[in-house]
Amino acid sequence: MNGNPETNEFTLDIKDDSEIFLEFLSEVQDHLEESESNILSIDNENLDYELINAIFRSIHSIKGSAGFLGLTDIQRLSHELETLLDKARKGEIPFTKKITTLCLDSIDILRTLRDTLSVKVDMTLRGKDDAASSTHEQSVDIQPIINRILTMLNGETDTQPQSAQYKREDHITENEHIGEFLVRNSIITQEQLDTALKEKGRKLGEILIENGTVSQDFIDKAIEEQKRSLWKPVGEILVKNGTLTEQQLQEAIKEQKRKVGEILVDNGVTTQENIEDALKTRQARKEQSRTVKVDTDKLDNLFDLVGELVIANTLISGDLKYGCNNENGSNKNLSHLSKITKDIQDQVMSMRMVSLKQTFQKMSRLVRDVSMHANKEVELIISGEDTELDKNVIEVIADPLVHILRNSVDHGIESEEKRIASGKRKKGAVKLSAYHKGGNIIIQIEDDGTGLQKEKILNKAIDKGLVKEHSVMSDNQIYNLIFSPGLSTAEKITNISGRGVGMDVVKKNIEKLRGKIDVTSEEGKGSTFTIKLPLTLAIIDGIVVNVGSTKYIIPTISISESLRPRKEEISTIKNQGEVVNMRGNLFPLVRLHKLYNIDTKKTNPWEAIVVIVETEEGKFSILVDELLGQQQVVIKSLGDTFKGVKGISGGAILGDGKVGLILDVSGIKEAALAA
Amino acid sequence: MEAAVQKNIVDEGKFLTFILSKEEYGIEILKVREIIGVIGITPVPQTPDYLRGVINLRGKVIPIIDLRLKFSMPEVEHTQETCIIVVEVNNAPIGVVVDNVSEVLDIKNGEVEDTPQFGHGIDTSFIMGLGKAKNKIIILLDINEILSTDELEMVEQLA
Repeated sequence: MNGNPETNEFTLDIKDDSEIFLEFLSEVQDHLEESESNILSIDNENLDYELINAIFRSIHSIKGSAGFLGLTDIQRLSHELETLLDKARKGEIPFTKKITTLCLDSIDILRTLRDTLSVKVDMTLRGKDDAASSTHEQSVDIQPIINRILTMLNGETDTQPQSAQYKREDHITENEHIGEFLVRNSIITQEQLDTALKEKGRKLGEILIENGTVSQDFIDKAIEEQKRSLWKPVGEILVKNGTLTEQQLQEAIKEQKRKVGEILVDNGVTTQENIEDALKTRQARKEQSRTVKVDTDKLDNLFDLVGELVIANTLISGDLKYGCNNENGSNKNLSHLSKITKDIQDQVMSMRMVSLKQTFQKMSRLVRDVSMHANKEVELIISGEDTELDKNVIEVIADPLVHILRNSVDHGIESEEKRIASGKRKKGAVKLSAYHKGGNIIIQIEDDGTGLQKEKILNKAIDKGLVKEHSVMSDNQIYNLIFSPGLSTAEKITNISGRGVGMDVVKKNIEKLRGKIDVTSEEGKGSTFTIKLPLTLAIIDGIVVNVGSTKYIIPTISISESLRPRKEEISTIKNQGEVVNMRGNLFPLVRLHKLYNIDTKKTNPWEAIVVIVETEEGKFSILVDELLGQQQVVIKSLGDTFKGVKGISGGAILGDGKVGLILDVSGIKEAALAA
Repeated sequence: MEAAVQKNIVDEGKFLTFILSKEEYGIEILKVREIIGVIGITPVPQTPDYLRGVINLRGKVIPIIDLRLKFSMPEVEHTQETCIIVVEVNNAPIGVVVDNVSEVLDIKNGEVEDTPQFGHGIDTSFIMGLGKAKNKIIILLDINEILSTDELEMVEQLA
C-alpha cells in the first residue's frame, strides 16, 4: 500500500488532516452531483456552452484539490475528463451522446473513488484501521475509463459497448466490488446479491494460488486490501455488535472462498438478517452526510430573531428587577417572547428542510440508465422539485423512489412495438411530482404503461396464501397487495427488477418515516404510486397518558379511539387473554401496567381508559390510567443503550421537564405477544 | 503481560473521586462533563435494574445508571448528597448515580497499583488500578469499560 512513488511526498495523513479530508469529501460530492445534473440537462442538439463550462469548472476544482491531497487516481481521471470537456467547450470535438455517456461514466467512477476514500477516512477516524492512513486509493481500476477518454480525444470511433451499466460492471468485477457496487447503485436488491453470491465461485486469490500464479504473501496483502475495501465494515460491524468474535471473523476471512457474510451464515455464526442489518448500518453510516446547506435568507432570519430574543429577554428581566409597575407591559413582553420563541423554533425546523431537487435529479439519471438498458425511450417529467422535506426524510426516501421508478420503467412502460400497437405514443412517460397537501408532502410517480394486472396479482396472492380464495376485495386493496413480501407479478424477472420484488421493503422504508404508500392503476393505461410523508420527522402529535406515576406518549396517528368500557364489555379468554367488545368488534387488551411492571391502582378497565390503536396487523387496545391531554412533542432518541426496548420508539420532554416515553404500538403488540 | 498493559492504561492525572457504599472510587476528570443533583428520572421498562431510566439534560435525553446496582451493592434511599455524574462515553453523555462526590485528586503514576486478582466471581475488568493517595485506597474505574454499549446491550437480550 505504498502507492506510487511520486505521490508519497504529497500524501497527507488522514488522521492529522481529517478536517481537510472531510471538507474534500463533501466538496467533491457537491461538485459531482452538480456536474451530473448539468450533464443530464445538456441537450445534444442544442448545446449550451455555459453548462459545459460549469461542468469543466467543477471537474477542475476536484482535480486541484485531489492533487493537493495526493489522490492520484482522482486527479488523473479528472484531468483527462477536464481535457475532454475543454475540447468540447472550445468546439474542437462535437458533443455527442457518446460523450454524455462517457462523462456520466467518469463521474460514476470518480464517485466510487470518493466513496472508497470516505469509508477509509471514516474508519481511520474511528481508529479502526491504522494502516489505512495512507491516502492512496486503489479500489477501482481507472485505466479503462481513461483509455476510453483518450480514444474519444483522438477522434477515433468509440469501440466500447454503449451500455453504461455493462461497462461499469466490467471493470469492477476485477476488483471484487461488483455486488456492493450494484447494490449501492440500486441495480440489484440485496436479496439478489445474496443469491448471486451463493452461486459465486471461489475467490480470485485462491485460484491464483492454486495455479501458482502468485504467492501466499500476495494474497495476504489482498486480504489486507479487502479489509480496507467496502466489505470490511460488514464483519467489523458484526464484531462490534457482538454477533461474532474477532476470531470468528478472522477465521471467516481466512476461509474466504466466498464472501465473508455468506460464510458467516453458513457457519451458523450469524443469520442472514444480521448480515443485512450490518450492510444497512454500513450504508446508513456511509450516506448520512454530516453537513447541510442552508439558505442564507433563513440564517439571516434566524439571526434577526435571536436578536429580538435578546431584546425581549432584557425587557422581561428589567420588568422583574424593577418590579412590575406596569402589568400590561410585562404581559405584552411575555407574549412577545413566546411569539419569538415559536418563530425561532419554526425557523430552526426549516433549516433542516432541504429541497427535493437533488434527489429528483438523481432520478433522471436513473431513468436514463434503466431505459437505455431496457431499450426503451422513456421521458421523465419532473415537477415540484423545490418542495422541501426534512433532511433525514430526504436521505431515506431516495431508495424507495429508485425502486418504484425502476419498476415503472422496466415493467410499467411496455416495449415500443406494444405501445404503438395499443395506440400510445412511442416514447413512454413517467411523471415524478411532489407537492404539499394538508401538512404532508405527497410524492407521486405516475407512468403511462401497462398498469397492474388485477387477476394476476390476486391469483398470486391466493397462491401465496396471503388472501383467502373467495374474499371480497376492492380494486385498490388488490393493487396494494403488491406491497406484500414475496409477491412478484413480473412475467420474467429481468436483471433490473421484478415488479413486486422488494416492494415490501419500499413500504417498510416509507412506514419507517411514518409515511404511507398507495398504488392505483388502470389496466392498459398506467399506474400511479402515491407516497404521503410527514413534513418532519422530529415532531409528532401525541396523546399524553399515564400509568401510575409514569407518563407515556401515544402518537395520535396510531390512535383510533379511546373510551372507558363498561364492565360487561370486557371478557377474558381462558382466564388469560382479555378482549374488549366494542360495538361488536373485539379487540385484544394489553395492560400496559402489567407489560411494563408499573404500580397503579387502576387495574379495572372500567375504571381506567382503553385506547384503541391501529397497527399494520390490525387493531388492539391498550389499558392506561388516564388521558392527560394532547401535545406536540419533539422526538428525541433514547440512544443505543435502549435500542432493544420493545414498544418504545423514543423519548420526548414533557411540560414538567421530565422525559416521557413515546410508545410504539406495533412494538407493544410484539412485546405483549412475547410476554 | 496483561499487567503491563493495564499499567499503561492508567495515565497519571486528575481523578474525580466519589463514594459508593463507603468505598472510594475515581474517574478520570477528563471524562466527566458535569455533576448534577438527582432530577426526575423516567424509568424505561424492560431494562435491567441498574439502568435507572432517562433524564432530560437541557433538552438531551440521556440514560442514567445506578452504579450501586451495577456493582450489585444494596440499594439505598437517595439523600441530599446523592448525585449524578455525567460522563462522556463514546461521545455520548451518560449519567451515573453515586452516593456522593468527594474531591478531585491528583494521582501520580507511581501511586497506582495493579488490580489484584480476587479469584473467581469477582470481575475486575473495569478497574484500571488502585490509587493510593492521602492514605486512602481509591478504586480507579475504567468508565468506558463499564458503560460501553457492548456491556449495556444486555438490554437487548433481556427485552
